[in-house]
Parts: sequence; C-alpha cells; structure tokens
Amino acid sequence: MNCLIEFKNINKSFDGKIVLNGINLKVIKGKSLVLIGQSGSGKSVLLKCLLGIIQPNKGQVIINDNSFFDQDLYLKEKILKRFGVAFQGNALFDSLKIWENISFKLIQTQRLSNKEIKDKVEHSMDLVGLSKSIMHQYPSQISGGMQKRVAIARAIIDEPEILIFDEPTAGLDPVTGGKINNLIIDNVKRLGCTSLTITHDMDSVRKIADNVAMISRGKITWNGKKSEIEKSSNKELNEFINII
Amino acid sequence: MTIILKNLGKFTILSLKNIGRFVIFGAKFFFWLPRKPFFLKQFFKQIFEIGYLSLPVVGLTAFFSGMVLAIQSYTGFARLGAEDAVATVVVLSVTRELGPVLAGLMVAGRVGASITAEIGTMKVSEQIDALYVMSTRPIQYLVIPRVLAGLICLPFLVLIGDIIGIMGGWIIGVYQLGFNSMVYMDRTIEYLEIIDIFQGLVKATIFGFIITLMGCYQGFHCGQGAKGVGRATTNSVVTSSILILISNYFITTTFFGN
Repeated sequence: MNCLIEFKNINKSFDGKIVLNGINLKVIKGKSLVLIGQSGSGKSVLLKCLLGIIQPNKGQVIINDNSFFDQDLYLKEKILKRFGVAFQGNALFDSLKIWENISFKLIQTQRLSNKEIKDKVEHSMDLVGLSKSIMHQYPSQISGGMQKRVAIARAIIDEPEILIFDEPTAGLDPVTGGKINNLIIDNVKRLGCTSLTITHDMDSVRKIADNVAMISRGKITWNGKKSEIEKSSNKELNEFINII
Repeated sequence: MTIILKNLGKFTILSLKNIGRFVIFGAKFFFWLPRKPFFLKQFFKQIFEIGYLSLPVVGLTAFFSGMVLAIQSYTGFARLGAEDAVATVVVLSVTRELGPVLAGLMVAGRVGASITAEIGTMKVSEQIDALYVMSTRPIQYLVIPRVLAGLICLPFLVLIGDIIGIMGGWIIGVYQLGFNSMVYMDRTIEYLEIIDIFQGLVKATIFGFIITLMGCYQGFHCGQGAKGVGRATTNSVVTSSILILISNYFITTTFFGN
C-alpha cells in the first residue's frame, strides 16, 4: 500500500496536560481515512499537527517520504498547496463575500484571469449544489448548511491532492448532514484524492470511510478497514459505536 | 511574605514573557515588511477604516479641546494681565501636545480595539489557521496593511486635528472673549515654528505604530472564546494608551529636553 501521510510517534502536551501520546498512523494514497473519537480525545490537535499549525513536542509527520517539520517555510507552503481543508467551524472570512471566500486560495496562489477565476468559482459552487445567487452575499447572510457547502467549495476549488474535513456534519440536522456526506464522497471520488476526515458521527463513518482509526486519550486505540468495525472486539470502539 | 514574593515572581515572569512575545511579533513585522506579496487592497481598506472613519472622532475631540484650552488659558492669563498670550498658548499646546496625544488616545480606543476584536475573532474561529493553510502568511495579510495604514493615517489625522483645534480656539477667542480676529490669527502664526508641527507629526507616526502593532499583537495572542477576545481588546486599549503617554514624554524630551 502506498502511504501518502504518516504520523510517527506524535506527542503533544499543553501546560503539562498530555493531549497526544505517541500517535502512529498511516494515511493510504487514494483512500479515505476517518478518524473517530470522543470530544477532547485529541483529533483536532492531531489535524493541526499535520497542517503545521501546532508543532508537536516530539514526532514527525511524513508526507510523500519527506518530513514536514524539517522543511523550510517556503517548502511547507508548497506542500500545503496540495491540501484542501474544510474546518470545523467553516472558518469563512466574515469580511469577504462568498465568491471571494471560495476563490481566496486561487487568487493567492495562481495567476488566473478574472474570467478563469469566475468560471472556477461557479464550477465549484455547482459541485456542492450552491446557487449562484448567493455569490455576492456575506457568510453571515447564509445558513449553517450553506456555509458548510461554501467551506467545501473553497477546499476543492483548486482540485487538491489531499482533502481534510474537520467535523463536516457537526451542528447540522441529519438530512443536511447526509447531503454533506454525499458531497464529500462525490468530490473525493471525482478528484481521485486522498482524504482525512475527523468526526464523531457514525453515519459519516459508514458513508465516507475506507479505513477508520479511533483515537482515545491521545492514543490510537483501533485502526482498520470500515468493514472490520462491526466484528471488532475492541471495547472502546464498541462502546463508542453503541453510544453514538 | 513568601506568597508576596511568589506572586511578584510570577508577575515578573509573565510581564517579561509578554514583552518578549511583543518584541518577537514586532521583529516578524519588520522581517516580512519588505517581502512580497503586498496586499494593496487590504492596505487601502485599512486607510479607509483607520484614517477616514476616525476623522469625526479626532475632529470633535480637537475642536472642543481647542475651545476649552482658549477659555482656560484666558481665565489664567487674565490674572497676570497676559491675555494676549492665549492664541500662542492654544496653538503651541495643540500642535505639540494635545493634538497628537488626544488623537492617539481616541484612535487607540476606536481603531486599536477594533483591530484586536477583528483579529481575535478570526483567531478563535480558525480564520487565521485557514489563511495559513491557504498559503497566505497572516502577518503579511493582516498585520502589515494595518500597521502601515496606521503609520500613514495618524500624522494626517493629527494635522487635520491641529487645524480644527486651532479653529476651536479662534472661535472662542473671537466670539466669546472678544479678540480681534486678525490679531488672534497673527498671534497664532507669529510664535509657531515648523518644529512644533514636525514634533507633533513625529509623535503621531510613533503613536500610529504603537496602536496598530499592539492591536494586532493582542488579537493574535488572545485567549479562547468571547471572554478571551474581550480581555484582549481591553488590554490592547489600555496598553496602547499607556505606551502613548510614556513615549510622548520621551519624544518631547528628545525634541525640547535641552
């Protein structure tokens, strides 16, 4: 199996409180890995370590056989260009219009004409089922479900190699959540990319995942294929599935 | 006694840590300042926010301060029989001290608070992380346009404030205290030197730097949630105001100490 991202012995603590305690995990190229775990288990911190937002106390993140933290800033930025990220709270820029939010990365990283940018924004909005009528509105003027779609449209606009979704269905009703899950599946398939999703929503796991890893108290306590979840005798995993 | 020493030690360490962080933040600003890209649109947006939108506040403050200064100095000088000095006192006080300091304090309240609240909210809602992930350096996108706009706008605001403040003094002098308009204006110009205006503008530039850099710093280092943003906003205004008053003393000493 071709490994695209590898977490090697990642340790992170805040003010003496251990959040990640020796995380070892591989993300296989072209597959969709879903990371599950209870709130406060360290999922989002691990994701921030992957993106270089948080520096771990110990350990390495290997992307395409290169250690991410050993690269200089310019190389890190080059690596990050291969990522498309949809944050938990969407992280849309309040002061920018919807089209400016979606096209932000394109404008910053590529030299495109206004027409090319407009076409790409419209295409991206089509893919996530957003009406063009909201293009000139601000994020605060649209619903939570629509904001989630805008965040996904922004993540996929430059057809990234790696897609990251942090709690994509958090705070959404089951119907809207289901639609967001379908959007993720469709776009990951269409782009043929690798995806890493963080969630505690088992519906998302069943729909999106190829592989699943469970994180608990800062450690990976279970890792395997989606089909193996139900047969697993792992106590924490079974508890998590049954409670959720 | 041990508890007092312990708390004093904690306070000293925390203060030194914050000063160190602020110095590093300032160093990052100067490191990225000459490097591409420069966000021109953001820069003009900040010129509008910091410069244009602060005009009413600065103008009103200067106008009423000029009027009060004219009344107060007249009352004082009348006891010495030196009423003629009112115009000179008003113009020197406004250009050297009141103009830049009051404009600085008002802008610290309006702009410094707004910068911290905006950047702080961006931080807690992961917008700054999103900038970084989308290959945009937050220092270049958020800090440099704001600090440069502050550096440029404050001297203009102070210059306009000076004119309005002097006008306030003139209105009181002519219409309430009975000065001849031409005599008042002559007195205003007679003793005014270029260095008086220049000193005020130097102060304004330094205050602009302090307000905007402190506003950005507090926003980037704010705590979690609404409480964290609120506390950072208060810190931004209080620290900027104190730094303005301290630096005002040192700049004045540099220009007129001898």
